[in-house]
Amino acid sequence: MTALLEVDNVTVEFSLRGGPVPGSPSRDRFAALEGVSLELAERETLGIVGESGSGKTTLVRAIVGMVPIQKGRIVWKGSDLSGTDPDSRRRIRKDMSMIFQNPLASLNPRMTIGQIIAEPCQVHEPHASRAEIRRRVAETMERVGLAPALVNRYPHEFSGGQCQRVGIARALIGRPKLIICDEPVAALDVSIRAQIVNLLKQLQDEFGISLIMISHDLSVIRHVSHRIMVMYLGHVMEMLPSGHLLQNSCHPYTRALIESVPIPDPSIQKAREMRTIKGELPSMRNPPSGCRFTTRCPIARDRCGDSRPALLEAGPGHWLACPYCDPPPGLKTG
Amino acid sequence: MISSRLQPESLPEPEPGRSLWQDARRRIRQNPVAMTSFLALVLIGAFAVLGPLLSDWSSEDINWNVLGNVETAGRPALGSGHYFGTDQLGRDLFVRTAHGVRVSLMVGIIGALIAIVVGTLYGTIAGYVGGRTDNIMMRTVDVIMSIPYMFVLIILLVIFGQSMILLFVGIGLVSWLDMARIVRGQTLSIKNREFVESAVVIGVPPALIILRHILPNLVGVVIVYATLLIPNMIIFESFISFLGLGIQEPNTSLGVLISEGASQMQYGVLWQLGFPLFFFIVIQFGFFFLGDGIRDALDPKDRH
Amino acid sequence: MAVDGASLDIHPGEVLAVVGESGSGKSQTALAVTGLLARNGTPEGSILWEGREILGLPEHRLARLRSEEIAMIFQNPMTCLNPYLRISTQMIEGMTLNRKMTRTQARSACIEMLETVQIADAGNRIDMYPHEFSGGMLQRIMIAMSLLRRPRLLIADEPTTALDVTVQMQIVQLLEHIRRQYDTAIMLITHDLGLVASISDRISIMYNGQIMESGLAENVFSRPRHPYTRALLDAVPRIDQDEKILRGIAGDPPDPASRTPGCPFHSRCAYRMAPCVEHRPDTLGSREHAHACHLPDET
Repeated sequence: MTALLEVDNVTVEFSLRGGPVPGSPSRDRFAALEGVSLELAERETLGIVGESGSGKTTLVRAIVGMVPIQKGRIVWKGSDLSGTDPDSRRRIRKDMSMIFQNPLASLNPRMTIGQIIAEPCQVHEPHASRAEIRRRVAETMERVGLAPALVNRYPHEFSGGQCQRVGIARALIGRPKLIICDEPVAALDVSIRAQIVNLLKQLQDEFGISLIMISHDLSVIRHVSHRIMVMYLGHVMEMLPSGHLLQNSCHPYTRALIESVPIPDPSIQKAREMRTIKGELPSMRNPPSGCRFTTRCPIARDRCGDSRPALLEAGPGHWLACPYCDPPPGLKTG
Repeated sequence: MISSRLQPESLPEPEPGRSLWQDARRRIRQNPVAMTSFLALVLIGAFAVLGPLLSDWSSEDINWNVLGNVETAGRPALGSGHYFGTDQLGRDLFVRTAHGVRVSLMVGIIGALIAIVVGTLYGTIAGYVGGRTDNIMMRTVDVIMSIPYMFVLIILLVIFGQSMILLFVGIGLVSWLDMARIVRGQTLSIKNREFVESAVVIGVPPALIILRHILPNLVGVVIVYATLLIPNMIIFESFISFLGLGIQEPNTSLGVLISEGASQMQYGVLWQLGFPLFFFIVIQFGFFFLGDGIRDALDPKDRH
Repeated sequence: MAVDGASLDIHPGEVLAVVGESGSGKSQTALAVTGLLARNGTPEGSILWEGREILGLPEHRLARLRSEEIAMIFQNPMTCLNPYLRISTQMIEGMTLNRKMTRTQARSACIEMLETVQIADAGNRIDMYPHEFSGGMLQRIMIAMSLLRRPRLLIADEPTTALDVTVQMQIVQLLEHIRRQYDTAIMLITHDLGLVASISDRISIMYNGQIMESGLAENVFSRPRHPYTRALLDAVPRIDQDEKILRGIAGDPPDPASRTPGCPFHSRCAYRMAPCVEHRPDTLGSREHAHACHLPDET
């Protein structure tokens, strides 16, 4: 199986003063992402979990080319993205699209729904006729559950759930190979979330799309993804098939995340042992040395601060960046 | 969503949408102050253009019968044909006021247009490109702004003689600076909105992003600021003219008329000050209230 | 009308969760309790505080009630604090005004309270500015500030929504601790069913300004009677279960300004019957478990 997308040891740095990174001295920089690698197969969903400042958003921005990378490579279907000429990069861009967290804010308030959905077509297929574009917009709207008659409406006339469907239609119309979803349901009402999650899964099956799904909500991520990657302060902590998450995940941070997801059933939830981890995320600009989770880790030892633990294979498809953790006893369920 | 299942094969007639502009228009129609101001400005505009046609006099004709006896013979009266009376030289003030209003409005509108075109272009480019370009462009604005332009303009007018063109150059030089700053600030905040990010991800070229995603979302601010800029420009011109350096005889403007009227105040000819001042004030208030109304209409959440 | 005929009651030391989606009127209900409704809001009905009617009380009496008996914390602690003043200034201000304390007394009381909400090194940190704290810390400080007056009721409006997941549970534990230590009643307003399950004794589920179902947390979660409650529980993925598909609720929540004569949920309900469109169902049941639905009770 050749990978659709390969991220190889990528580092992204930002300058503390907001200036361009290449010109600023190294003490004025911080790495929002450091040595991160991943592979994504066709039709696969990779879930990326982490709290604010974990670098998950920076990672996907680097993939779509919105932030420059300082080290490493991003390889799309075998060709290095940083090496290709602008023309083929634009062609690759057509194969990737993105869905944003805030459904209303990601739609231009001065454009009609039809114009918004048609935009990728106009950019990537300048020769398509207007009738052809109109037909495809209607078709795509129908596919995501929007009545094509709404094509001349404006975003502010829609509910949050409908706006997110418009966002999905815009991401879908160019028939991409990969859709990146940045917290696609976090801003939606509980009753709408399931609609959107189910729609994404359906579209994936139908069109054979790969998905990268970012969220801080482990229960949503686990539900939709094939594999889960856990990030903390710009490092990958653990990566494993989602079916193994509860039984086999081992990194203390992953365990802490699992335990901090409340179960909507008081008889189980109130009986659960509440082992919250102490403290809060350290500043990204001044991260702890060695393993970045050391300062909050329940099993931290002196050596953890010395060097960054390598991401090693701990089982089939299971990568782990902690040499000291034991396999967990399994999640207590009712 | 349910209705989409019921759609037949052929495309249904699209339902009309309600754009933000339509919303704003509806809201401003419900704002009595803004609508009154708008009506007043329209009437004043009509007066400036059509007023001279209603009178037998032209702005340069001197009524020799009045000359020397302006306090009594030059009074505003319907019978004499001098509806607003005459000035100290026996010229019809009705026509001269219409003329002055026309010149003043023109100065204001041209100033605002320069600000809209130059300022918006400059501000969006600086804001969108960012980085060093932004720095250089905005520092240039700061430098120009720090020049005491009124002083410089007065010196220029004194040296090169008083001309309308020089006055417009002066107005053009200063009017766009604030606009550029405001537009740049707005562009910076719009640039970071998710819909611009999504356009970048799609691969929309920068020029099109500015044109399609940034400019339309700026238009509101630009219009509001422009309506507030017009009265400022009129004040600016009036001030220069009041000093006697602006518009020259026999041409006139509200500033010139007010200046002349003020100089005659003690001779019992208050109408010479009163009529131009009335129009001046109504224009000022009209634009301020209209600008305020437009702002409320575009951004209804701001005032609650 | 944002809230329509909603009834709640809360006892000392009890945690009542008011659950609903955006626009369901859950926050408006809480604001009505404190008399803080916007000027265009006019509450009707009755709000009893320890048996006394407070609806219609003059503003100064309400203000005293608010300052001494009821406290409130919000979703975003950063916006509730003045960024230009030290935490100490902001905390002590209220104490010296209300309780005729000296500054030194007030200061030590504040430090003690900060220690109660588990802020380490409170004696020094009290003199820091809001931006020097993380979101979770600020929420602790807000809780400490609200507790200074020893309120009988703490209204927490989405207190953990803006926080990171690992910090969320710390705040939940803190609320639980406070409830036990001071016997404070807590009214938790949230959309997060997991959060509700972690801490609340009783629940009221709101939809479009009306209470659909209420009762003891165990009853509502394990034997949900209202189709909306069931649908809501089905729509949330659970970390401890492998569900193949989530069952979403079709359609969108209704506009908070609109009202139907019938059950507000009827347009999205899978069990809709003829009377649902026409008549609002009565609320049947007890304090332990009640719901408002035309559907014959099967549990």
